[in-house]
Amino acid sequence: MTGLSIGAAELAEIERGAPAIVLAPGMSLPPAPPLLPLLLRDGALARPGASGPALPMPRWCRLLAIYAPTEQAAEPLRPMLPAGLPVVTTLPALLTLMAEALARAETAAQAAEAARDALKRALAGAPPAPKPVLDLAPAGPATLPARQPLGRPAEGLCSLAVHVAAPGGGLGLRLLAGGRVLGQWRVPGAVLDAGWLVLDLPEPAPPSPAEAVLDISGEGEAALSASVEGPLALRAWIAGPGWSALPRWFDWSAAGAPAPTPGLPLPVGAAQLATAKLEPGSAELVAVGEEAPRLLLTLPPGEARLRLSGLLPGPADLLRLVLSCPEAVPGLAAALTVTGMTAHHLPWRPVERRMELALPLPAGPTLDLALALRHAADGAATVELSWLALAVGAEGAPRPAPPAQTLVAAAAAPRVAVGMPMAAATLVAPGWRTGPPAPRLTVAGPGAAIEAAPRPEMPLAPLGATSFQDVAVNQHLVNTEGTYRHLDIGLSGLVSGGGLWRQLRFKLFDRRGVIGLEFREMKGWPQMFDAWPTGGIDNFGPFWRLETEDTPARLTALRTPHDRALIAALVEVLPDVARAAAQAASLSMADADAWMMRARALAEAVSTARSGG
Amino acid sequence: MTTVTRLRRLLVTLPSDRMGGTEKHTAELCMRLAQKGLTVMLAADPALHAALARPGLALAPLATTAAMLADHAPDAAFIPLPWPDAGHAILPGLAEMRLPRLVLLHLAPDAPPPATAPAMGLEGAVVAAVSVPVARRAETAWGLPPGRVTVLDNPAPPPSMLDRAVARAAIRSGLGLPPDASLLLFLGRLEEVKGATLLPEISARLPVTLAVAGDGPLRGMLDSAAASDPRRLLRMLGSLADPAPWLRGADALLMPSRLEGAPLVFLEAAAQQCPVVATPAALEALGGAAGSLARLAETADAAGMAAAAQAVLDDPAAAAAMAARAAAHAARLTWEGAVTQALALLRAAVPAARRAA
Repeated sequence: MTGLSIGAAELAEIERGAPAIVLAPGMSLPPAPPLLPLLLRDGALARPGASGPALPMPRWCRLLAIYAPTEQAAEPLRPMLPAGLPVVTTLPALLTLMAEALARAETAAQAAEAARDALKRALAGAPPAPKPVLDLAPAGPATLPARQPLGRPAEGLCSLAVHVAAPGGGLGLRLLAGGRVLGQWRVPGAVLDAGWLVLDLPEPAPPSPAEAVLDISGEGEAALSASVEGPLALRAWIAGPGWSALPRWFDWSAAGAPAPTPGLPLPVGAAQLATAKLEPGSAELVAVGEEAPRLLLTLPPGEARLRLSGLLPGPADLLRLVLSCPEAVPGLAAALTVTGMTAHHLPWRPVERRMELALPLPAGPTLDLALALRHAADGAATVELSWLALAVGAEGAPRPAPPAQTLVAAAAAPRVAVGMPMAAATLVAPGWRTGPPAPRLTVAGPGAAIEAAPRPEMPLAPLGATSFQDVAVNQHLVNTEGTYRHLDIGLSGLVSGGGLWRQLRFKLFDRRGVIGLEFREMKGWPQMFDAWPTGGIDNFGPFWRLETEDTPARLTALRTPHDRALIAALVEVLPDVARAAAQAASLSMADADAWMMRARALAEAVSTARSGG
Repeated sequence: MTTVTRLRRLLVTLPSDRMGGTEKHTAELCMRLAQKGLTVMLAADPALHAALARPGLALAPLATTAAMLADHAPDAAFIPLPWPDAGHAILPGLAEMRLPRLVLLHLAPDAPPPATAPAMGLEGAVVAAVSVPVARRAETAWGLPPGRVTVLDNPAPPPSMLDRAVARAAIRSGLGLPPDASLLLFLGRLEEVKGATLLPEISARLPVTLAVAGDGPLRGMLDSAAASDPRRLLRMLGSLADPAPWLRGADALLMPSRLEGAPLVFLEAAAQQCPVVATPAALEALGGAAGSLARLAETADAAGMAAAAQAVLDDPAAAAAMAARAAAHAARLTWEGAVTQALALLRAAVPAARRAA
């Protein structure tokens, strides 16, 4: 088989799990989704009657069978198709083949799960001993916050130790690798002593080539030690599969989360704000149009207290809130207390028309907020809690990685040889969110291993709903004249009824009032389209723009149904993405609203163009 | 657990009989509120509908309060008032319905408090004005306690993108003037309160061209004055579709007003970095900052205005610096900020209406 291609749309169907068969010339099948019938024409497999761009057939793509009236009728197709494809000549035989393939896929998945559980139980009685891989002795003080790369991959790490030079406040530590939080610990100051502080993970870190990085922040006078070589004084151990521990001060809610972006605010949602209680007085959620609701507080004369319980801090380090007074309130003042394992407090301070308060978060799995308000007006007064968010603190000062000669040359973490039908099985503890969960299986014919391609399973969304997993901002740019601005946005996990796209990158721009999306085909940008839409080319390479001008003409550049579905899905969530990106870029709420409006304008232009308006 | 009160339908009642700054501001603000997902119904005199039309804005004739409430079923009301007594026919009816409402006053005279506070139907309403002086006068006129009226700033246009040299050359060429000729500009309604009666005498005191743009009841008088000006320095432009090039190219804008709220023409001039010469009353809204953002006439008459204008013409560097400060001031007053403020006031109108119930 050489040079076999397959239609981009058909490939997308197979990727989503559709079983595919090749029809011999003259054969046809009644519609039987999810079964995908393919015809071979000019070296490319495609649905009967379909036309569209074709892609080289990837190795992982498996075909179920050839459907032909006789074995001889299938012979002319064999040179072009993968070897070993069975031939079925009747519909009942085809259905039997499909059922067998589905059953094998199910059995393989169950066998893999059973093997993993058996391995963990076998090892639980005699867990492997941890081996040291890093030992940097203390030699002097180190300032906090700090960001310490460990100089080695995170794989196998089970315990870390930092050297406390001076206890005097709590410590927050976060172990990161590959864009994920492997572990987060909040150690209260009351339990800290000078000396080594050992922190465990619940299980060894999973396989990953990404370097481990340790973020550390401290409260009050807490200080750590540095080593003579320059990095922090550190110890680290690795262990093999089967090792486990119940870690102290471990923040289970943060484990497995995406690595937080410094400064990124995580606004408290309306559902949680609705549980807030103001006593005395009343609190109500009010929204205008499509905006997010705000909490409006009606304060009787004197003092009142707003309580909000059960905030889950996750990776956040700070609480930020904005109070505003739509109407002047004489003598308005506020005081703030956040309580976890300890309490942090902001004393009374006057509130003008608008005030932002920020308070570092204490340690604790959940936090309670108490906002005290008082005023001198004769009657009731209205104050708005315009914004309440938890935020990740600033990135620590980077420290040098441990020199190579300081890394203990430990043998690779022992792996137990177990015959498993799936390659690269990963031990995953229940509740340990290392990232994408269960791999998706592709139904294949006999003779071909069922390939458990580690394709992430995207968050479940209701049929027809569009959602996305994460937004990151690469750049926010405004030119000096103010005539051009853009948000360079990375979007992961876009899913809709029309498809699934793991990574997207685009610029949402405003060029003198013309709003648009810009996509590029260049290094550093993910491959997003089945067929690159014809656009322009400049010094940086090919680009394609979808703008509020000439929108219908620009949309004609999309050549496949899958690509059109991509744009439709992206445009549908674009206002939310724009707002999240603007907030991630630490823009003001007004600017965030403006970006959302720009996105909405573009979405409306696309909708009008698609409806022929 | 608190449920969400979401305002989706906004009734805007505009009791105006002509198109001016208040009406233009109302249309622009309503258009932007509609972009926030509100269904906005602007009820106004049908004669103004063409000028008020904006994308996303539904227009209807003004009717009785009961009829408008029945027709449009609003969740809230926004009542812009060009003058303190303009809302007496609408506000009491809205108050009876306990509808969340925002009242915005654009202009108010400096008058002693009335013997009896009028029954305006402001109980439970959020009341705002476009400047601090107008807010204080509203409290006086309506018998409200100090601080009851908040301020909703007028927004400024975005900074100018016009090339100043091109604009200067173009407008002078249009007037048949040499490219380096000095040029003063008046832009506004030709009426007494805007100080338009002073324009002929101001022009007579200055050796430079004074171009007058706008229309109004004093048009005839000013046309006659211009026709009889032997030096032909007083020029009548009529209404301008786009005043931006004139503001960009003029040496100064004259504002001899006797009364202003938060004059939009000042913000338009500031956005174009056009120096402004004004009476203190014209820029009362700027408070103590007026003197650094514009050249204030020492006396509010033609002599004072002419002297101030001449001072600006004599020191272009100082005039440019003053215009730059005014532009920076204007740059902080954005439509985004105004809409954010308006939304906050509408939200506050909900608990305010509940308290009055």
